[in-house]
Amino acid sequence: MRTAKKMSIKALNKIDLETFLRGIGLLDAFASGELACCQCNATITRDNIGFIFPIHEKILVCCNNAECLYAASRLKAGNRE
Amino acid sequence: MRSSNAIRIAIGILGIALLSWYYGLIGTFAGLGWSLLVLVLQNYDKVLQVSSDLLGVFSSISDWSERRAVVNFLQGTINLSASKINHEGVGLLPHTLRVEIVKPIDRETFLREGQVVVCMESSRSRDRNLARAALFYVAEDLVRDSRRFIDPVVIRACDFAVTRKMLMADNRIDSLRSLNDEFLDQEARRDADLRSYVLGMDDMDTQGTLTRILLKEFADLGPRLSPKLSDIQAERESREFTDKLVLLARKQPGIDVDPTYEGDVIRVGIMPIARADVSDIEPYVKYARKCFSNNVPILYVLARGLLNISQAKMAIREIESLRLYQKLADSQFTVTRKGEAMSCFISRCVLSKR
Repeated sequence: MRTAKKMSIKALNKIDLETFLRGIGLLDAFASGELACCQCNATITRDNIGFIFPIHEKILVCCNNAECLYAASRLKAGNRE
Repeated sequence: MRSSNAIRIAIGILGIALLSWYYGLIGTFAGLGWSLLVLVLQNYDKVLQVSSDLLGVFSSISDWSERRAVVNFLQGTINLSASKINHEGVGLLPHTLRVEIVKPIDRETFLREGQVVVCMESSRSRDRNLARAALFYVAEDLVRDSRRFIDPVVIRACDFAVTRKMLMADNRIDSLRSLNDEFLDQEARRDADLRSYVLGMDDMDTQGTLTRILLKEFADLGPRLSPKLSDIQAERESREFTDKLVLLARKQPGIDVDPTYEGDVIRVGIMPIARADVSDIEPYVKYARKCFSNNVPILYVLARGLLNISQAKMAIREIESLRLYQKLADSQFTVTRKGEAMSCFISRCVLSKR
C-alpha cells in the first residue's frame, strides 16, 4: 500500500489562462507579447506557456521545454530549502 | 484475479446477502451502497480515470467538466502508473499525486503560496498533458531525498526513463511520442550523453535492473549522506555505477565485465547466475566470499530462466549458511525479450555482521 504523503500540482487549464494572468498582474505583458521565458527568453504565447512560479517576490514564467521544467523544479526546490 | 480481491468480493456478496435476508429490500440497497462506496475508495485512482472519460463528453458545454476531466485523468493515470513503479522498487516515488485546479488569485497570494503552476491543454489534448504532468511529477518525486547526490545528467536520464516506463506500462503510446518529441529530443540535442543514458536505462529495464538495482541504490544515498547538501564523490560514483550497470545490461556471452562496483559511497556486488548448464555453485560462493572480504555491503543476485533461478536460490542459501550475506528481499518477475516472455529473479543481500 502506498504512503499517504501527497505531492500536489497546481494545474491551470487554458480556458482560465487570461483570468489567472489578470489576477497576478501579467495579462497586459502577455497580451502585448512582452512576456518572455525566464530561461530561454522565448516569447510566451498560449501555445508554449508551460509553468508559472513565484520566486523572491517576482513571478516568473517558463515555456514548455524540458530545460525550463527543470529550472522551475530546481528553483522551487531551492525555495523550499 | 488476485486472491485478495476475490476474498473482498466474496465478503461483499456475503454481506449483501446477510443484510438482504435480515432487512429485506432496504438491506439489499444499504449493502449495495456500502459495497459500492468501499469499491470506489479502494480503486479511487481508477475511478478518477474512468470519470474523466465521462466528464470529457460534457467538456464542450461545461467549463467545470472540462477542468475536472483534465485533472481527474492526470491524477488517476499518474497514480496508477506510479504504484506499478513502487511495486518494483519500494518508495521510489514516495508521494501520491494530487492535481488541483488553480483558482484565480491575486499577485500577493500567489507570491505567498509559492507554488509552481503547470499550464495544461484542453481535455482533448490529454496525451500532451499526461506527458508534461508525468515528467513534472517524476522530476519532483523520484528518489526525492537523494537527487542532490546524483550526477545531474544521470538523474535527468532517470526521470526520462521512469516517465517513459510509466507511459509504456499503461500503453500511452501517443503520450510517449509527445514526451519524446516535446522534451527528450530537445534535451538530447543539447546533451548527447542524456540520450545515451536513457537508452542504456531502457536496456537495464528490460532486465529489471533499473528500478530494482540502480534506483534502489540511488534511493539509499539520501538517508546515508544527509544532512550534507551535496557530495561530489557521490555524484561521480552515481555516474560510474550507472555506466557499470549499462555495460552489464549489454554484455554479450563470453565477454567478461567486472560485476563489482567498489566506490567510497556506492559499493555493490552484482552476481548474475548465467550458467544453468554448470550445476556447481562454488564459483558464485567464491565471488560472494571475495565481496565479503572486500567489505562490499550489498550483493545482488540476478538470474534469468527457471533453471538459473533455482540455481540462484541455491547459491543464496549457501551464502546465507556460510554467514557471508543475508537475503533482504527478492522479486521474481517476467520480462519480454525479442517477443519472448522470460522469468527473472533479483535478490538483494546485505553483508552479514562480522
